[in-house]
Amino acid sequence: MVGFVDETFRDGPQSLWATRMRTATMLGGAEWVNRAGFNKVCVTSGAAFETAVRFLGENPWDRLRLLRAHLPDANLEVLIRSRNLFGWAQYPDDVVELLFRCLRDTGTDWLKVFDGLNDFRNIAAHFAIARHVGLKSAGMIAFSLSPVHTDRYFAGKAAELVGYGVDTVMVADASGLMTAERSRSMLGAIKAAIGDVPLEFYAHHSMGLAHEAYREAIGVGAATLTVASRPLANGESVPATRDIAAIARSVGAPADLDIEAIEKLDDYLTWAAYQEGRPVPAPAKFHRKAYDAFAGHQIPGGMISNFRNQLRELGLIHRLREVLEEASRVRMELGYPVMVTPFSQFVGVQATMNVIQGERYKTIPNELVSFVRGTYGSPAAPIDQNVKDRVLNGASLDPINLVEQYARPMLGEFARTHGPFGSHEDLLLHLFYGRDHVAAMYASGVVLEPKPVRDVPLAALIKELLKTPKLRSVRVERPGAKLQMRLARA
Amino acid sequence: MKPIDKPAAAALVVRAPDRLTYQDVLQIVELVRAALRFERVDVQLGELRISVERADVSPAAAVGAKAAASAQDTTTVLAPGLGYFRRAAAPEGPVLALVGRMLAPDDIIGAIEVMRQRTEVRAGVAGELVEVLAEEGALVEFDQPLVRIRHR
Repeated sequence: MVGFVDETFRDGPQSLWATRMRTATMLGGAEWVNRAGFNKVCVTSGAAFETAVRFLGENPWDRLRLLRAHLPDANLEVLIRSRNLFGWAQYPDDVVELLFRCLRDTGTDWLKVFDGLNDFRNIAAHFAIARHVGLKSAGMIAFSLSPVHTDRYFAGKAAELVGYGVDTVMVADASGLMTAERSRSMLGAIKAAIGDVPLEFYAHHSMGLAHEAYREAIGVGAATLTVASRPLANGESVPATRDIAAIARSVGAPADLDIEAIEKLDDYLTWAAYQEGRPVPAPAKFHRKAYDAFAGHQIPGGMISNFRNQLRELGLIHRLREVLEEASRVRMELGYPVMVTPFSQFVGVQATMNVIQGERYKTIPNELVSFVRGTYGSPAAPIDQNVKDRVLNGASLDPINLVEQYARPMLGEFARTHGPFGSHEDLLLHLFYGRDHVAAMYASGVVLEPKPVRDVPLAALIKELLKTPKLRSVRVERPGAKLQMRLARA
Repeated sequence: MKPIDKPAAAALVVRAPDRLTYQDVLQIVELVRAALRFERVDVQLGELRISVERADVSPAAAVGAKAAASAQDTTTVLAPGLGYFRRAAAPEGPVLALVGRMLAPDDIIGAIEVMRQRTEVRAGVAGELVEVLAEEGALVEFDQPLVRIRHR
């Protein structure tokens, strides 16, 4: 028996819809998600919070309360990105605690916490604080493909997480590069290192490898696999629930899921995707050439399309290949950071400048100096000494003590200088997104309906046909059903 | 205008859904919009019927020849109605529209799918399947070429 974690409302929209799934769409599908029998349902993240505030005019705290009300039987989970929490700066422990309390009070049961460098000095406190406020936590290990990211390295990281008292260890492959063989060997090594602590597995299906990696994970004894409803799966997202349920069944680990509920959810979200103009991607097929090309630089797909646009504007699109090769080198020199936000940006931006300026590390952004100084923690391999010298430019800088830095509170000062605030939730929104964006959100006029509003298929059909020009009449007939429309024209 | 109601070779492969789903709605909308290229269209596939009338009547909306228009030694099999071309007769079934396949007139070369019902399409002549002209899953109109068969 294997369990499932649902990402239909979080990673699916983040990977496929630019995080633009509205609360109304979620509530429309909530009854089936609630019934489906997932171990956990991930409902939000920093990206979802920020998009709700800045682009959808929705209060993300109200969204959480509504999801809690309409998912009464589900364990709700929230993704936490290291010290950035729901913002972009690095926040100290007192902000971590206030955020976790507010999440608990709006109905969150679980947190899953990752650090893009797997430097757990950044997040050790998160696990203690979660336990302290009564939340369960999954400690995430960010997978990356590199000579230093060995099975032994990951097993050591997993054991470290167990030492922090995590409730589960979750291995996450955002790159989609984990093959079946690697899944078996790596998850096996981690399982041996964590003993009775449940192992969870999470992979994007972007390279066409996640199905087989999941199959191996079941064999190794993973407690959960992460999936999403089909219209929010595949592409750069996780695999589809029904596909993985079928694989689990085929290896004799039947999924305890209500497949009929998931079919209904898939059907409803196919309609929602159409309404939002979002294509439903097909599952990727594995291609050795694409795999090898991507494995070198591991720059996420969304970022590469940005690159293309920028290089085209500069008239340098013919140098894209060079930039990507340079990115492989820069990534190696910077100690193989896992290619997720913000490290993928550091590598990508530096590689572009190195190529365009014709001299490596001629211009160095402040963020890269911070990275090399250790502000974000330490990457898996040491940073190349020549690059380090060049970036720091001989300046003697004090070593950074992360733990000391995180112990310094900031909320009192922030409330004094920026307050007063209506609530702790309000304070956190101001802290993460700034006064202007929060004011614009409150003024957006978007009203979140407390009850799901969903057209039944027949109503959806009629409304859609009414949008069709040149139509005089339509008749659809089937045994037991007949629809006849004659449109009045002015 | 030519009404399209050719369930001639219709054989119901997949049971008709007993409830309208959102995916059915999307297919109906797509079919209706495709049908709007004609002045008036009636589709009947299996137990499903769709009739559409345009508001503005354009005399230019012509329909292709009904008979299989072909080179002399080949026959082109045409779609019996509006729907999605499938190279197999059932969702998990073998691909039937395969180049090189030798066919008898009664052999099935694929199907037209509407709302999860597939209507089989038969070769009509004996020969070798030499070309597949419609893509798997493509929305095809009445009389659109599906495959070409070289006479034996």
